[in-house]
Amino acid sequence: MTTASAPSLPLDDPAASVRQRRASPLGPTGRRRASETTVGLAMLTPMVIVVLGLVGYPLVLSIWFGFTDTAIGESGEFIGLDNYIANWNDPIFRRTLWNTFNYTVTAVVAKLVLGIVMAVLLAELRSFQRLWRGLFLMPWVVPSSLSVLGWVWMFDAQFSILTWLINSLGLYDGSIRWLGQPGLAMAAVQTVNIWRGAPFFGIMILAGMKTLPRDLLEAATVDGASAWQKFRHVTLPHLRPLLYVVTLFSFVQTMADFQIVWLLTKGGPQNSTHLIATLSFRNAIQTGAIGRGAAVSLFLFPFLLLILALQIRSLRRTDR
Amino acid sequence: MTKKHPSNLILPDAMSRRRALGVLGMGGVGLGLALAGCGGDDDSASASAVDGDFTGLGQSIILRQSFIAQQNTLREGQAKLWAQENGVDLDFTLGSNWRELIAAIVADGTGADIGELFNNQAFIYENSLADVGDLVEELGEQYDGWYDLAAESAQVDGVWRAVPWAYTAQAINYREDIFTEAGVEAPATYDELLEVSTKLFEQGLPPAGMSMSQTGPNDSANMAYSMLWSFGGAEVEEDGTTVAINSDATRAALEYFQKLAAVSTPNITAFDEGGNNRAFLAGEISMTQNATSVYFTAETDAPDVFAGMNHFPYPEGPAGRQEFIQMNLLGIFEFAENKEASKDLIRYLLQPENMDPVVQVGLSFYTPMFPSYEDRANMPWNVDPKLGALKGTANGGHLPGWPGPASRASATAYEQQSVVNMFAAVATGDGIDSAISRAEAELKTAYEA
Repeated sequence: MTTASAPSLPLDDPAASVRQRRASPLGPTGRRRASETTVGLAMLTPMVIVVLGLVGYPLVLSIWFGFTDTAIGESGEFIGLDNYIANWNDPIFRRTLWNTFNYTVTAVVAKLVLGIVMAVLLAELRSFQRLWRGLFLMPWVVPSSLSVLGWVWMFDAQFSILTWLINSLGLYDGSIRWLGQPGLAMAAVQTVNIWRGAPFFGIMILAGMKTLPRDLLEAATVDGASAWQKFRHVTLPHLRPLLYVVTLFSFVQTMADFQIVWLLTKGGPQNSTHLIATLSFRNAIQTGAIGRGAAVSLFLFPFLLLILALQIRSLRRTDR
Repeated sequence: MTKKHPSNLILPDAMSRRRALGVLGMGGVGLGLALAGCGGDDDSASASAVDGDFTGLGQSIILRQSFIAQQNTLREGQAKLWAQENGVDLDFTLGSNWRELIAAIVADGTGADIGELFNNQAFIYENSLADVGDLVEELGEQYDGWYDLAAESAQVDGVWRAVPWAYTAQAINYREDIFTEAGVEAPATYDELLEVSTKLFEQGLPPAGMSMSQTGPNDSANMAYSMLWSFGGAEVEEDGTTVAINSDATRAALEYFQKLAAVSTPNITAFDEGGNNRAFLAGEISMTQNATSVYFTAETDAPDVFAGMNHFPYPEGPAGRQEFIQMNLLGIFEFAENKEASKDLIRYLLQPENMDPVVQVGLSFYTPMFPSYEDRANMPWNVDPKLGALKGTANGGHLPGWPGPASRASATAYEQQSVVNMFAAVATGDGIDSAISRAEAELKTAYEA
């Protein structure tokens, strides 16, 4: 096997060195950097184009629509904050704001707690680890359009397994309007979101736990720490940056959820499960009021920007 | 450019639904040819006799995917046959999400020439729809006039923005066998409906299941608006802008529905669009509001239910029988490049040899908007006595917003389902006054904003 010799620098030939320096004022290190920059830019460009085209342009357009009375098929005129004011005066919108807050906070907290439990259980399992991980991930992997159909059956008021189970356990007697009673319907859509999203937390946290140095845990064991103390004082501090990022990420995702609610309740009953995304869809697409719909979806935009800023800051800290 | 299609107004009685179903097996263009052949006595007349030339032109049409698959096959065959005979390059699309597709097309200003519109959508897209008054007038002459509802749904500020293609005839589907077991008869009034429902409930038989759910908006809206109007209530005054939901008549309707819901299946506030169909077919409920899709499916999937079921018209209330009629319209987009070809395709689809098999296969799902169809011997309600309740339901029917005119505001109110939610609220324990005041506030954002 021959080894390619490294290109020799022209140190023994001052004249050549001078010639090269004149030809390339950056020098060899500079040239490498310039080359890396070019490659980097070349690799980044397609993504930048995609992001600008598919995210940036629609976002800017939505912001503009929010300040106009644009309807489907009609170019609108600038109307300032009228859409935002009209939305604020709309009882359905105000209810939707509360729904979104309730849905997001409840679901994210539940997913976080369940995700930690799931990760701890998976970390402790000694046999069939891959099988269990695969099974736990199923809700996250199965397309929601499919899995939600199963939930529709499970939430039948009279003949569902949930109703049967609760009746059998003697907790309640009779039919339960899972999707037909406002409070229960919100709990139902939250349950599906938690069921679907908790595995993501679980796997991410498990990955974080795998990076925990064993000697720290062993040292805690030698010091006589209990399992809870090891988790509380060793594992959890180690996971904190990861938990922060994952929670913020999930917060944004959950707040913008559409599929689960639309497939299960279409925002009903009595608008009790409408979220920002579903109400925006209804206003913009079904009633054709693009401006009003855009204003609905952008109402929380400043808040989401704040979360994004926190997330980026957190990522930078983690990098350091 | 006006083309004359053969006027086979009187079809042979022998063109039964079963025959229509039989020819479905032929498929595609063959299917269309077969149907054209079934059209009438004058078999020699081509269904697309042409004095216009559309050769080489393109046409793109987007239609709602019918719950009855055979109707989809028929329409595709018909449209393709028209395209073949006219040398047109046809793009034919059926979609269960056709409303979203049309919204996207109108927003983009490209993507289709013809689109199916629902209920009062002509008012939402009025500026993107071409004037089709000449075609509407021509078809009206051919069939001796339209139902009044045609103009109500398709004429925007005096201009026909769509061709009223069909309406979805609705009735109350009920289990006649269970009614007999309970010793009751099909009710004619809302009071009788409550009596029957109470007896079914008290005897432990499958209860009533009148859908009233935001998840299943169309069937629910049919019942909600019809009930409200039949009790003398309305969401808006005749001027189309003054919200009128807060009235004694509305209170009476809600008090009534509260009692009806108490003796109905608890699922009524959670049914999706097909939920009441499935519950009926599974024998879980003994009546529900629906088009003929339940009856159609029962014939093959639930023969026992099919044998024991029947239909009765929407009941009468203190203000008579008022019914919301779901409309299906065909609009030509303003940006369509070949509008004459688009009109010719619509004209072709509205010829009897094409409409009749569709309505026969669908048992009156997609019923033509012409009163002259009511007494035709080959119409499903004149063939099957169990469909008699569906005959001519468009006569005197209304769209949301009645007694005001249909409008963009009424379309918005319909989409936000304030009336459905008002009824659903009292069914789930809300007070009548709070349900009304919430609906009033919501409706004001649509009508008075």
